[in-house]
Parts: sequence; C-alpha cells; structure tokens
Amino acid sequence: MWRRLLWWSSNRPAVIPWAVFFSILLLVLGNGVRSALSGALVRTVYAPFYALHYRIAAGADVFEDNRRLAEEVANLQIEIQRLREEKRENARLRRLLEFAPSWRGRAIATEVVGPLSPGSGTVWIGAGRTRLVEVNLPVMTEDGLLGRVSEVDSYIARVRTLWDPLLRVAAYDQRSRVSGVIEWSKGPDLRLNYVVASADVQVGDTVISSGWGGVFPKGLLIGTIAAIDTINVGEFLNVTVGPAVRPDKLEAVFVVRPSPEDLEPDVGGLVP
Amino acid sequence: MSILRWVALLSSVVFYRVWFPETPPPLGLRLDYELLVIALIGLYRGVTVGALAGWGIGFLAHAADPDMMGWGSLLGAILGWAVGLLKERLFLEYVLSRWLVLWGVLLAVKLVYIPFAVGLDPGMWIGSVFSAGLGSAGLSATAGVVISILWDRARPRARAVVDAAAADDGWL
Repeated sequence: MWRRLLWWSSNRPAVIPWAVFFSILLLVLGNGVRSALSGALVRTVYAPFYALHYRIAAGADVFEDNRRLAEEVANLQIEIQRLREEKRENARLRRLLEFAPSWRGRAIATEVVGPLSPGSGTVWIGAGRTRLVEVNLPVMTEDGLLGRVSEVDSYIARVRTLWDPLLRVAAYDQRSRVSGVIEWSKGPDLRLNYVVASADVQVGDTVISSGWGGVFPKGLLIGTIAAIDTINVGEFLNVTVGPAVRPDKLEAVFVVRPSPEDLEPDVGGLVP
Repeated sequence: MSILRWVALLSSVVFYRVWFPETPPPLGLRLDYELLVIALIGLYRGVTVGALAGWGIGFLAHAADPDMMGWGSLLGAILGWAVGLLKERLFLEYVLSRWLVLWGVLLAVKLVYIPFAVGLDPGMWIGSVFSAGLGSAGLSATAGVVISILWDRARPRARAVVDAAAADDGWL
C-alpha cells in the first residue's frame, strides 16, 4: 500500500532509490573530488556559456560605446567646423594685413546683415555712426572692393555696391595704367568704360581703383579683365571686368577710412 | 522528446545559471528557472522522467558549486518525482490547482535551500521564507502555469499522447 501510494510500481524503473544513492555518493565524496568534478564541468559545460554571456554583455556595451563615439564625432565635427571658420578668418585677416600697406587708412570690420538687393544693388552692413562709419566711405571684402556707404544709421549702414547702376569707380589697368570708369549694367560682370580704342588692355589684366574722384583710395582691387569686344569697336572699347568680389558670397566686410594722402586729386569729375 | 530538445533544455538551464547566478540575496526575488523546468518535466512526463531529469538538472545547475553538488541533485530528483506523483494523484487541469501544486513544491524546495543559503540565523530564515514563498516560488509557479497553458494550447495532441502513455503506465 505505502509503496504504491508513494512511487513504486512493478513496471516502473526504481529511479528514486538510484537518484538518492548517487546524490548521497556525491555528498560523501571528499571536497577534493567534488571540486575536481565541478572544475571539469565548468571547463567543459559552462565555459562556452560563459563565453557567450561575455559576448552578449560586450555586445550590449557596444550600443553604449556607439552612442558615446557618435557624440564624440559630433563634437569633433563642430570643432572642425569652428577651426575651419577660424582658418578662413585667419586667411582674411592675413590678406587684410597684406593689403594694408597700399594705403594708410583704417579698416572697420563688420558683417553684411542684409542680402544684396538685386534691384538696387545695395546691402546693409552691421556698423553705423557709433563705429565712425560715414557716407561715401569705401567698403571692401578680403577679395577686393565692394562699394561705398550711401546711408548711415546708428548701428547699420547701407552700402551701394559695384552692382548698383548709379555707382561709378575711377579705375585703371594695373599693368598698362590705362584708365577708365567701372560701371555695371547687367549680369554679374562689370564694365570698364571710357577706354579708348587704341588703349593697351588685355584679357587677364588686373583692374584697380585709381583714387581719382576723392572717394576710393588708390590701389583697391576691383577685378580682372574678362573680355574685350573687338568687333563693335567705336571710339571706346567695350571691356568686361570680372569682379574680384563674389556678390553671392558676401560675409565679412571692411569699411575703409582712408587717410587724405590715399586720395588722389579729382582730375575730371567723372566719378563721384 | 528528442535528444536535441534535451540538449537545448539543459543548455538553457546552464545559460540561465550563467546569466543569473544564484543569489545571494536570500530576500531577493528570482525566477527559479531550473526548478521550474524540473517541475514542468515532472508535470508533463511523469514520475520517472521527472526524477531523472531532476537529478540531472540539479546536478548540472550546481556544478559550479561543489558544496551544493549532491544536494542539488537530490532535491532536483525529489522535486521531479514529487510533481510527477502529484500529477498522477491530483486533478491538475484547473489553473489554480496547478499553480498551488507548483507553488507548494517549489516553496518546499526553497525551504530546504534556505538553511544552506542564510545559515542558522532565525531572523533571516523568516525573511527568506516570506521572500521565497511569496516571491520567488510564487513568481516561478505563475510562470510555470503560464508556460503550461501555452504549451497545452500549442501541443494538444502531444498532451493527449502523454496522457495516453501515462494511462498505459497503469496509473490512470
């Protein structure tokens, strides 16, 4: 009765007695034997699972490492961008220093705060009377002449650029010293007008301000001669000048306060 | 059950032991996966297979602890045997009765384990009984019931075959 009630059956293997026997056998074995057996099992059975566990745990760390590295990359990108900006600024200032000896005035550094207006050819800059900006002062970029100040407020000023049809700049060919007047009529390029047909001008010649007119100091880079119309030649040549300043990339500008010595006497009243 | 499934089952036990090494915290909550596996084997495969699997899983689960090696085997074998016996003696079709049986046997095993885990401190015993009874054993029994329900739904024909085999064994 008890045997049947508990676990015994005539057609059932006597598992429990054997299980108890082997368990007690394990218990009565010495610690050394059990440790050796345990060590063998750990090395053979557990070791692959420890390795798998380690790999999975390391895989979980990969996400954290990836996030940290992504942040680091983003910070480095920002740092690179900042360094590039500083490099460009450094180059601009370096060119400004190179440019400085050609005149003895003072440059007021500022930035364009309003885009170039296609209709009027003017831009707004972030410096005004508080920074001693005055009407008719020349405005430059690191690439060359941009225009002149036409209106001044306390903190901003309006600049009439080379792409303003009302602006004229006395200029000459730096190589041959042939003079003319820079004007704009259409398109991105400028025109060097009033160059007589027999004048010595060539494509690629540099055009700079002549200083005549009392507004722009002598020697400011305006551009290079891009084309000369030799077909419709009348009394004057049609000379196209590619401006040194890109109107679509206006950023940092300098308002120039030339010294009186930089300004040549007005010889003809051709220019403002 | 094919050899491959046995290997997978034993591997899962070892992996669980590696991933969630046993506890000290006697008051901590832990799913007793290896005990649950033994109980479910006893529940579905009867006394003999339950006792054998219990011995093997108990041995394997405590292989890393030489002090518990024999005890783990013994308790595992008794657990598998007991659940298989209760399955034959009791009507375990109801969820509640199945949960109570699982909870009872798991709690009994935990109560045997507690002195090994916390020593002879009666205060720790009381706390461990509560945590083991209300916590780990309850959690494991609940998980076991859920698994058995899902298993029954997924394998109704297999269950019928097992029941028929048990009936042929002379106990049903």
